[in-house]
Formats: sequence, structure tokens, C-alpha cells
Amino acid sequence: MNGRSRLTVPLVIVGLYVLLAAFAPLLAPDDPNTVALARRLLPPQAHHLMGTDALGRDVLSRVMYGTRVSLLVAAAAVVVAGVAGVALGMVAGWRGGWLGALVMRIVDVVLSVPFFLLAVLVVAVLGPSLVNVVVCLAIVRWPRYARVAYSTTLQTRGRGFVRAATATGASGGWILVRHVLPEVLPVAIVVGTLEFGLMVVYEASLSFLGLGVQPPTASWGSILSDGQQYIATAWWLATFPGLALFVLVLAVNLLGDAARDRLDPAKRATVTRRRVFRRPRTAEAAA
Amino acid sequence: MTDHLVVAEGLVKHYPVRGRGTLAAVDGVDLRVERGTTLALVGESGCGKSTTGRLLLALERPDAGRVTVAGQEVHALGRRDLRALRRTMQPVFQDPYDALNARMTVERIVAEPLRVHHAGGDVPARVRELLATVSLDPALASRYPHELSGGQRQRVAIARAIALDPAFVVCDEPVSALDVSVQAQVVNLLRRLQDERGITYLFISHDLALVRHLAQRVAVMYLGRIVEEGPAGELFADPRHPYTRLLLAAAPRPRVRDRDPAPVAVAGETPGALSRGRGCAFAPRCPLATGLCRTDDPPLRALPGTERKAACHYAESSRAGAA
Repeated sequence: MNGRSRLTVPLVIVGLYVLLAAFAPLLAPDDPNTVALARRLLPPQAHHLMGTDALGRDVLSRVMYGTRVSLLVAAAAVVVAGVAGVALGMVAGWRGGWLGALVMRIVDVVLSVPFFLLAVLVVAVLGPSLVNVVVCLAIVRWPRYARVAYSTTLQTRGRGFVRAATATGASGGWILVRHVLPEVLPVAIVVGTLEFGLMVVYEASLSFLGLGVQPPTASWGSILSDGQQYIATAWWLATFPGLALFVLVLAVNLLGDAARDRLDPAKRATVTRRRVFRRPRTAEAAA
Repeated sequence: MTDHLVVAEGLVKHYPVRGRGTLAAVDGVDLRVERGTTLALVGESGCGKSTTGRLLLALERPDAGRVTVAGQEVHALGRRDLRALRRTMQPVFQDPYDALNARMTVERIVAEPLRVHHAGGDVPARVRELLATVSLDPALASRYPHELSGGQRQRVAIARAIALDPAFVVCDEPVSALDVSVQAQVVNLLRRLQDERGITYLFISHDLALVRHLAQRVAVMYLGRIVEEGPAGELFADPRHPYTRLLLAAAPRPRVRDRDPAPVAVAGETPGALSRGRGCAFAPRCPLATGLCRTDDPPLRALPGTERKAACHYAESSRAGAA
């Protein structure tokens, strides 16, 4: 793919998901929570494009409504964990000393505790709800961002342009925002896109355990886990929410890749220059 | 009385080395730089010359000693006063790639000191003016560092350094990363800026040929200490410390005829700043070392009848060509 479509294709896909989530009430063919045992476990057909589940609910409608929960929870968790992790990691890397050591030891501790143990603990204390799922995921996942922010900050701290800025009298905050953050951000974005997929899965897992979204509210995770027990007889139950999840995670990862490249002026420049001069060297142009 | 813009006294900087004690990068250095002149600091890599430069600019804290720039004691200043003083002292580093943020345009790079100090006025116009001063096309302002050559990048770094009209600039090997053809241009630029603006330089280098026609005074550094210091002409014509003589002999120079002397390598390795024993630190490599050199460390002392100082027991006697 060339420079432009590398960004636009995943962007369009993610945009479609967002529209789908926003207008689910208008687009969904059926109410996602209407139980009709007479039409239970119907395979995909004209009236139910993705079939129906064990309670006769339309799977397409449930997947559409589920998109809202999944997108919202995953995006919020990535943003909250990302902002907190990047800020703490950068300060730890910049200040170093006891403060840096303290933050990074907390990171080690949080990362060493199994996810579900911590998640169950947090939800048990806070009580299960949509907001608390986000809080829980942020508490469990911020150390991922903190680690990359910390190491990138340490590397950048020793660079010549940071020393030059120090020598002109720039404050720590100035240097962190203008010199260190632009180095940290591309790495954090890539971590964030990888984490996004994981957050969708984690939300599903928590919902499966009854610690996340409460039934009958649909989320991809809850539809998937409902469908799990019928996987041999009703393939459509697990397939469609799984497919929705797969395509979204793939698109977000591609988006992160393209975004990272665009944040690097050296790479961005080669893309534009190639377009301007239309150099006839086909082997290079194709690469 | 001469006017010394920069005075360093008894500078010491030790770095802890895991499990092996401390490394004395700078071990009691005194320097004085007269206003509007260039002091060259020369020596092998690892002798502490870059650390000395960073100490002068308060980029690092010394373990002992003090630095006075324009009458202000640098390391005793509060945060606010130090920030203000930084306007008068600026660095130019060796690697112009690393010294420029690759994510910023030339315009933003050169404007940074102006913005940090809220210089106000028309910043873009000031940046174009600065680029013209360092003989760069002002149209380059919108470019990124990776689009420039090494020499252009170093000019951008110099433009940034002089943006606040500093009185003192520390040039840490400013041309050693550049092509030889470009080196002369950058050196001439530095000289022109000195003439036009009366900038005082500390010029850190290992290239003696360069130093020879740039500096008024030269300080030779060896293992964290100054071993010889004096006016450039005098020091090059008649080096008194055996280390200076070896450095001069080791410097590559064009050989026109076969009987011109070939460059000589300085024998042996530095004993390493980790293990400074008794006696002169240069004694293990010195062709003139005697028993006295191995037991008594010679202090840096003024040589009678000259403007020079040397740290050698035999600075007066061991004159010509013994090396």
C-alpha cells in the first residue's frame, strides 16, 4: 500500500465502526434484548443476517449494540492508561533518583500480579459497572506505557538536543513537552493500538465472569462467551462477534503503524518527495 | 589587569564506576579565558576536556571547585539566576545530527532559545537574520535537519548558539565530525563571529593544526589535569611538557619531502583515570621519566621568564627535541 492508503483504509474501517456504534438504534434491524424462544438458534437468513442466539435474540443487532460497549470501554481504557502511564514514565525517566526508582518498582509489582487476580480485586472493591471496568483496565495496564515512556525518556535525556535545550535555560517541563514527548508518543501510540485489541478481549473476559457489563446488555465479549457453548451446533454465534473484533483490532493496529510513520519527518518526507518527483525507478517506487 | 570572562578554579568531577571506585574525569583544573579570545583545550579522548566544558556551562555539577562567568559564580546561582546567566553562555557540540531535534524544523530549532527567554519581537524574522549570519539560505528555515548536510547542520547549531548573543561559547570538537573541506568553512565562520561580536571561545579539540590558527592560548589536558598552558605561538614553538611535545610530534602533517619527519605515535596507553598512583601520571609513557617522576607528582607551576605554566619536574631543562 502506498503512503496515503496505508492511513486511509484503516481509518475508514475504524470510522465505520464508530458510525455503527453511534447509530446502532437506527441501524439495528431488531431490539437486541427481545427474547423470543420460538426463533431460538436460527442460522443466518434473510430476516436475521447473523442468525439468532439461544434466547432468540437477533445476533446482528446484538453485535451492533455490542460495538458501543466494546469501543467505548477499550478506547477509554487505552486513553486513561496511556495518559497516566506516559506521564508517570516520563517523569520517572526525567527525574530519576528515588522517584524514578519508586515508580518503576510499582510498575514491576503491578505487572507481576496476574491480570485477573488484580481485576477481580479492583472490581470487587469498586463494584461491577461500565466505568469501573475502565478504571480497572487502566489500573492494570498503565505500567505498559510507563515502561516504554521511561526507557525512551532515559534515551532522549542524553541526546545532544536535550543538552542544548538545557544549556539555553529551558525548564524540565519545556523539554519534556517539546523534546521528549515527541519521541515517546510514536512508541506509546503503537503500544496503545496493540493494547486496544487486548482491552476488547479483557472487557469480554470480565463480562464473561460477570465482573464487567451486566446482562442483558450486549458486548462482543458476552455474545462470544454465550456462543462458546454452542460452537459445534450454532457456528454463527461466536463467528460474527469474533469477526467484528478481528477486523477492528487489525484496523487499529494498521492505523497505529501508519500514524507512527507520519510522526517521523524523515519517513514522511520520503513519501512526499516520491510523489512530487515521480521518479521512474519502479523497483523503489513499488517498495 | 586583563579581563577574564571565564575563570575556573580547582574543578573536580568524579564519576562512580560500579565496583571499581571512582573515575576522576576532571581532577583539579584551573582555567582563565580572557574576554574576546579563544582558549583551546586539547588532549586525547577521555582526558576530561568535554567534561570540563560541561562543568563550565553548568550542564553538570562539579564535586569541588568553582566557575565564574561574567563575574557570577555559576554553580552557586539559584535556578532563576542560572537561567538568566545561560543567555550569556552557550554550547556547540561535536555531532550536529544529535544536537538538532530531527522532529523540528530549522526555524523551530533556531527559535527555541528566543522562545525560552521570551525574546518577543518578530521571531521568524530574527531566525532568518541568524541563518544569514551563519551564511545559510534563510529559505532553509522550513527544512528538517535530515535534509541538510553536516556542515549546514553545524551552522544551524551555531545559529542557535548565538541566538541570544552570548558572550561565551564552548565549542566541543565542533568540526571533527565534518568533512575536511567543510571544516575550514565552519572554523572561519567561528572566527568571523568572534571578530564581529567579540565572542569568547573555549575551543575543545584534539586537532592541533586547527588550534594553531584559531586560539590565542592553549591548555593541554592529560588525565583530568592541565599539564601545560600558555600562549599558542610560544607553546607550539617551544613545548615544555613532554606530553605536549609528543602530541605535536603525533599530529599528522603534510610531508612534502621524504626527509620531513614522519608523525610519531604516542607510545603506550593512558594508565586510566581509575588508578592514579603516586608520581606523575605521565611517567609510565614519558621518555624522560626519572625516579623523581615516579614518586613525586609535579604541580602545574609558572615557568620563570615565560607566560607559561607546565606540570613537569624538568620543564626548564628538558628543552629541545628529546622526545
